[in-house]
Amino acid sequence: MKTITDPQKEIPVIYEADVVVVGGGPAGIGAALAAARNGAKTILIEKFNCLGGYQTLTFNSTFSLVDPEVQNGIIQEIIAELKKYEGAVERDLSKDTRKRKGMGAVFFDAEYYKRLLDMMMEDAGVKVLFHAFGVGGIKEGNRIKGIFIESIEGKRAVLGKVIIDVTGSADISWKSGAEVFSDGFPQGPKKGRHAGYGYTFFFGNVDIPKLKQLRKEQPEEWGTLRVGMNLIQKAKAEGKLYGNRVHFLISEVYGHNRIWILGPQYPIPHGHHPWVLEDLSEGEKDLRKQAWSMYDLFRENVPGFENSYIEKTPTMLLLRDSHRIVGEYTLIEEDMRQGRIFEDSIAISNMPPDVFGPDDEHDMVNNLMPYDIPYRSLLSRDTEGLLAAGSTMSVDFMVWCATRYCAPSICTGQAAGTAAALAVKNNVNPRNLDIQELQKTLQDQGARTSVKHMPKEVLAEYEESRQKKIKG
Amino acid sequence: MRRAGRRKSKVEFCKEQARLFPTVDDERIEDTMKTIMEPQKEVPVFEEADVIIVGGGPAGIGAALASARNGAKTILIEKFGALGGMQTHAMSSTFSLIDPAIQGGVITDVINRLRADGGILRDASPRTRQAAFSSTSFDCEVYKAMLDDMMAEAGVKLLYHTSGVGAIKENNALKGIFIECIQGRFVILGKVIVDSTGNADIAWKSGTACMDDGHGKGPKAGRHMGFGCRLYISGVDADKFAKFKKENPEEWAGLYGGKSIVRKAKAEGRYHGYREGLIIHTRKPGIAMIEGFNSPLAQGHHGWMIEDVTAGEIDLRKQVWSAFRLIKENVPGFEHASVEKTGTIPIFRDTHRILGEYILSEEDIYKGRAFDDSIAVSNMGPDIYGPDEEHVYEVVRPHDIPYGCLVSRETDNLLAAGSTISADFYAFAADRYCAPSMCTGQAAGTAAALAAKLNVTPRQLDVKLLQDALRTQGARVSVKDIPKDVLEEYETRFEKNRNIDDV
Repeated sequence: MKTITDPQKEIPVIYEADVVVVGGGPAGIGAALAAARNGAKTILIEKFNCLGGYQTLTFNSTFSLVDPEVQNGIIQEIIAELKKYEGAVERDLSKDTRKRKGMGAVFFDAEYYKRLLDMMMEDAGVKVLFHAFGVGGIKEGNRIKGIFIESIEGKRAVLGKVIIDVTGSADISWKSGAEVFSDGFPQGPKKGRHAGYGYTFFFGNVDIPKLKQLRKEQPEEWGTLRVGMNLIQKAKAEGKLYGNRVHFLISEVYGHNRIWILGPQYPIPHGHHPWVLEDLSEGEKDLRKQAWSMYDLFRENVPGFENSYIEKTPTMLLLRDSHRIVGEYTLIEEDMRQGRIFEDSIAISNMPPDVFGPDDEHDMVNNLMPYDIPYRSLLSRDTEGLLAAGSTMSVDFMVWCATRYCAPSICTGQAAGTAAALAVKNNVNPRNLDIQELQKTLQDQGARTSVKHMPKEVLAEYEESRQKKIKG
Repeated sequence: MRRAGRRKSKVEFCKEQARLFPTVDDERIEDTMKTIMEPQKEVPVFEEADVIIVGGGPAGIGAALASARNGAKTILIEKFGALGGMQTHAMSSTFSLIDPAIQGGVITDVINRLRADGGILRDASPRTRQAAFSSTSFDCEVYKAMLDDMMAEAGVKLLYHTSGVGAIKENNALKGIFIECIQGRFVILGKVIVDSTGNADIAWKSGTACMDDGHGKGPKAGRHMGFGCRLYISGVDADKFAKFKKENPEEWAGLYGGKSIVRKAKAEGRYHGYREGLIIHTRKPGIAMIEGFNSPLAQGHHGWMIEDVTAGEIDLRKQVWSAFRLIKENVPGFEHASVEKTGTIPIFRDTHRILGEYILSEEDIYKGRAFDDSIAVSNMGPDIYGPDEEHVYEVVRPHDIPYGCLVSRETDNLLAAGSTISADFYAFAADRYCAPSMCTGQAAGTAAALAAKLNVTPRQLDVKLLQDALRTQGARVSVKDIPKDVLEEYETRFEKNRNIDDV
């Protein structure tokens, strides 16, 4: 491969913090708030202009399967803050969480969420840098001691005692040479292939009463969240629809004659990877093309969409599986399925694997019990000073399909941020942190750290709905 | 690399202007000049091209289409996931002062295609020669998809989510650029680099001389225009709002409205914003667009400093929510409204511009000066968002933009287009707009393709050859080519509207 020599350079250091959090999605939000509140001088680096990650940038403005007995602490505080502003929570279905009815989601207004997060970061004393792209780690031996950022003012260094990689794709870990997973599907004919890119967008000016009528009249085709299978099949056969999905997920919860759609899907062929620039770039174009083809199909065929338009498309596509750190422990599918208890657990997840296959298949295994996430899954195995949370932590592919969601991300984020602050305070490596102190601090700050602390009656409710799902 | 000057501490700054930047934070340690040594690295070459265009805004669109259509192997680098720049990411989805007698070529193709795709929401171009200011607005979602298609048809290689972070310079010539993306750091090699970043990012970061002056004169000399943004609101009853405006002309005559509402809220300390009124447009069913937000930059602060950009984003979001609440609570038709969308970037205004072979001046644009090496015509006047809350728009004569403004004075193989061209603050304040940007983009792209083909540097290119190519491809090259009757209409407009404030 042809290369060009990039000469040695002196890069100005612009901040020296205790904790550097890279990525402002749910995991980064949890990490930054927790680190700052536990006394660490904290800096949060975000590539775009707002916090929230996929919750804001790609319109996935939900907290799925939230249950205060499973997740508490920062996540419940955020939901409570959202509820204080009239209209900011569009719909709260969290009471369905234990019944495993739908996704038990809290749907919220992404625009207010952006503003709320600005205020929460300010209150907690987190220094936020927007439009800052973390491009690599600064390493000394096997210790990471900062990151390089690229921004409008050029390349700069931000130093920290602990670096939390919450990029969602282990960007900092991978680019600084830390050991990462990049495996994709673990078995079967699709082995090694990655989950495709997804795309969420909005239709505006939809005649909702007309759509509701349609949903009632044709419940099989239009009555549920997944709609339009026959229409899509026919249009595809006639060459009138560009795209890969066999059904679309639509929802009218966001109000204002507006329909939210998760439809376009970009499969990543064998040997290609979600982190390859040309795939990413091609994905954006192709998904936009699919969205418009879908719009044409709906406008011409679906009652209620006659005068609709594409209201907004996301700042970026949904990048699903990419890199994850290799941690001290890798949480595996069996742990999740058995609801295994860990002595060093720092968070609980009740999220089942939501698997978007490399091609068009979509599967959700909805019969699991809540399970523990151990601290060791947040700790890089080979790099000192490096913690991960959210989609970046050390889990296998099937567990990642579950824990990539925002609730486990905010909770593991809170754990990583707290651990980082305690490590700084106690002047130890995150690896050598007293786990009990971490667990106690988390519990004192409202977090749920292990299934073993969950009330029996709550677990019984989960067990009951699990049995129903197994039978159903 | 050039470093920004010493910054006044934000604490001092906030004491002076308490209404700004609620987060008082002066932890930046730049003054200590601590550095980290980044070791030498071998960076893989991702691609080689004839022409590399950095930045997919109006200037980059013009440049990429022109370059590819003139036979050059062209790569267009875009930081975000769609083209359009401020037109899409900051939702300034307008072409202002469009006139087919002034601008032609790529911009005409783009607008015609938008019209064919049903993307034009309001066509104000018939009023251009009469009105002090007119703008044709469009649907930015249609625009994004259309631009993907146009680039594919022209054979432009397009890379999204890619930041151009610097250039490879050998002696005085650029050989390529460094990019950062999800995959890491790479090199793209090219014969000519077009900097259409809007901020002269590539030029500045490669150590090429740039202008970063801000206001040119008066008590605000050296201060920069603030950041702007637009806000879209949904759930709007446009008929009710129209009725209210009609029945309350003293409150809502013309563009600006809500003056007493804003005044009262400000007096009661309930409003975080700088202007004395609100500009609300309703162009789509149920949707309103609010414009005119401005987050000022204090002395010693710059649009290219990361904390200033961050503080600007936070301040604009605060202004947006303050305005939204005010409108929702006080303006009929907005009772059930929601914030529909906000931008991905603020409207960046003045930052860096290249230092070119020629610097277009305030005098040139007022006089409507013709240049022998002109490559585009502009009918836009300075639209200045002052460092504080003041806003001035001035009407000028159609004026030439010479090729010398596109050519870096000291660095070979570097061309600028759009907001990045060599102009003084006032000429920049005018020609930063999208119509001149797309036209200077077309000129830069055509020049780059010709230079690559003829194996000369852009500086050595025969301007006559460039002008002929542009004319053949529909562009208006100089005011000398504009029909007399059209210029007379503009002269009448100039006499009537000169020195108006705040349109």
